[in-house]
Amino acid sequence: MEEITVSDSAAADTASSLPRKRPADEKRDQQLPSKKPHMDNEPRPTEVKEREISRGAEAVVSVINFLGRKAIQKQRLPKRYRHPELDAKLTSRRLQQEARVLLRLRKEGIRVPAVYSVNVKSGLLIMECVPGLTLKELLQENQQGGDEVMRKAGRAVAKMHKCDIVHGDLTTGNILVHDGKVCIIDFGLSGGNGTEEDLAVDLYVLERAVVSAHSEKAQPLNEAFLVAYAEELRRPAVLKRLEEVRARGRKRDMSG
Amino acid sequence: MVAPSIESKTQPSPAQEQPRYILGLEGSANKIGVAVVSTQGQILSNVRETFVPPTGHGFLPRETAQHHRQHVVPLIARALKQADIHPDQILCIGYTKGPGMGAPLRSVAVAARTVALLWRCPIVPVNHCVAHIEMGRLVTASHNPVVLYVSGGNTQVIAYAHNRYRIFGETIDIAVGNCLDRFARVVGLPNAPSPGYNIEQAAKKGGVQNRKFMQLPYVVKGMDVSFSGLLSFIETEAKKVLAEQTYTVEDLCFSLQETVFAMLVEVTERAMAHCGQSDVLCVGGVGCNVRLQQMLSDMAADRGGRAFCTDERFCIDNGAMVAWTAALMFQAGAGAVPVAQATCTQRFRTDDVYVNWRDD
Repeated sequence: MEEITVSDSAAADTASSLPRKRPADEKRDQQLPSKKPHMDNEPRPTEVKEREISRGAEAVVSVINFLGRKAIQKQRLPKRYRHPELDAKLTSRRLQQEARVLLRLRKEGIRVPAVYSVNVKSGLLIMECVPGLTLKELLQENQQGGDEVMRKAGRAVAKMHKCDIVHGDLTTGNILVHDGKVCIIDFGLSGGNGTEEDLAVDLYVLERAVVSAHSEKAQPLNEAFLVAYAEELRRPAVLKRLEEVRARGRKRDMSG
Repeated sequence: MVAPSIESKTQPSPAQEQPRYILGLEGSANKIGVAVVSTQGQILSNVRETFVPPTGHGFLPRETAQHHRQHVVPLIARALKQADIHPDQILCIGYTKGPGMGAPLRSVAVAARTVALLWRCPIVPVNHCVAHIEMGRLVTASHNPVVLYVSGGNTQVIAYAHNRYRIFGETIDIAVGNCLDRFARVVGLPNAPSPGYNIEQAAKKGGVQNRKFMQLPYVVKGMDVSFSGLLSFIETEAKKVLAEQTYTVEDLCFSLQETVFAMLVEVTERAMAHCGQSDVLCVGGVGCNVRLQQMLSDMAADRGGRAFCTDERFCIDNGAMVAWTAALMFQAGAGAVPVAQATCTQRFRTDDVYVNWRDD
């Protein structure tokens, strides 16, 4: 398997080699008047407060200063319990997979963090720090407009699924909302060539996450999501499969 | 024997104390276990017989049930004798309701109903998976760990929340123990004392530093695992590489263990991160594998936590786990059922049980 170790300059290339702005992108930029000032207001290099955000099973995620920009660093650590050969293979495979999926989705015009730098040898992935609240926080805080956000999330997930990409851990904590735009994050468990079953499981995981965290409003929220999803994707077979997944009761009662 | 008088029942003399022992019967797979525990969790006896099929074969329901029927009465007698108690001292009978293989479950349920009627004891149906968890908690005194339950029939990552043992991850096809057992058959390892034990011994024979690692399919989907693809792969490849002498049986045992256990530890760690827990408890037959225990300990230590493991007496299916869970259920006041409802079932999910004996 070829390594996609990207040096810093190459990373900049990657960012600039992204598809030229399409009309949709330009429109988006216009709709985001806060974007420019926000960039200007960003702390200068020395002012970026570097800190660890989370220490998951997979990686340590921190905010860092990357070439004068606030960025997110995801550091995969070697697992002592795992056979070294197996560990090295898994770490590099997953890191490459995550970077590839991010690049691919970005090329398709789907809002995901931009990849700044990939270093397979040291298990490092540096990407854009996307501002905003998670869907989880948003639904908990704001009772109004939840349906609209869910519709947007539905369209975003459908666009991702159109590329046959499966997220693998699609919870409300992995969907960011900023200025009314939806951004999907954390592709650590993602994969390409998603089957209908995989896509349906993605939907089911999200459905359960909404139910467990926001049970009183779950029904209309999930409905709004699925209607928008179905409109965008136009693959009834996935929704049919979702019913089977539900009936099977797998992952039932996932709380947390 | 003189039947105790009404007076002696209502006013127990020291010799005829209140019944405070629980008899547990387990037989959901190829082991039949009978045990006596006290209401306080003291294990007075815990005896077991295992049905071992010939090398190259698995255990079939009919033969296994026959084995259980043969052994259940002598085992109950042995358990009572070892515990040195009389049936009058039994508070209730616990038995495995499920999940498991139908025929063996039914044999043991029949035995449980018979003794319950014979000794006029309440009867308590117990979930096998929950019983494993409660036994692990009792023996290791771990309070609220994430549980990795791994055996021949089950593979689940479980955490407790709001009176249920919730399944966070599980196998989407076959259980890890089933994968190991079937591999053992392919390479001709014997079923006694257990295929998993023989794989473990083969893997470390002559030192693990001499082992050659073979890449095998590694299938983790979120918090779920899958073993059937891996098993098909190794079943086909094993014959080839053994014939070509590129790998030995020991190398394959080693590679299989390293791969499947890494998958299990990975999903366990993910569940721990998700729940914010640092302790892990390992139960079920595969849980007595020392290599798996070591990997769990390494992982837990790196997270600042501990791994709790037990030995074959309590990891592998046994009567004590059923007796102790029945004790917890009965004392919480909602365990006993009328004899007519003391049935069994092959499918019985861990999260179907309302855990009314825990209030955290």
